[in-house]
Amino acid sequence: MKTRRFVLPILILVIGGALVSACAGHLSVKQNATAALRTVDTALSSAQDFERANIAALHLDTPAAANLIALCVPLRADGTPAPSPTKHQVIACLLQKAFTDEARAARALETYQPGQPVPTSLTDLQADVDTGFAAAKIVAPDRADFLATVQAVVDAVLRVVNQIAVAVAPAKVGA
Amino acid sequence: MLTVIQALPLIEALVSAGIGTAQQIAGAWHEKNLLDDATMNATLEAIAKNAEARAAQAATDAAGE
Repeated sequence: MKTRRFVLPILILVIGGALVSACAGHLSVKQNATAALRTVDTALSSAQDFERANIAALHLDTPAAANLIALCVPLRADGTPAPSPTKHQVIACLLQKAFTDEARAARALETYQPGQPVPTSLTDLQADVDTGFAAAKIVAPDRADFLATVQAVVDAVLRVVNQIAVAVAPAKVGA
Repeated sequence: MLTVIQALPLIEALVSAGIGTAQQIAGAWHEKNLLDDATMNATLEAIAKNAEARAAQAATDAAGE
């Protein structure tokens, strides 16, 4: 009977230790980051749909146009700056950058290896959505629904970055 | 009643079996996740493609044309 008292805890420790070690591998980091990026994709797409359906149609005046254009300069198809851009065009400019960096982040995660730092595409995306939230507050400060939609994107991106940053702590940023 | 010293061979055998079992479980887990890696990459590729399509839509909106 005494033997059982020793053996059982040892077995539990050995098996448990091996499983914990296996589960802490890079694949779980990638899995979590992939799931979190899917949430970002949904949230960012919702923000774009919401802006096109509700905010763009408001045709608000642009007293803060200069501040907005400082955040992103909308370009015409020929690559030259759009003349007198509207708020909608500036928000679209920011969305274009965010979606482009999101696509880069998705491809960076495809080749992510254990121990690698947070891809720069992800930190770029984080900067994009932070700027987007600042822009949303200028464009529609009284539209709590729109601000909540953009805030959801900011939170989702933060979760992706944290999935990797925590795994490679101290957090590093790399190519 | 067994003493600890008398039980040592038995403990050794059980620990060895425990390690073997744990390695088998970890191996199966790893294999499953290698498969999942392909699924994850397909998911990531779908995300990238949607983001590129959305970026193109946003570029059109930004151009105001």
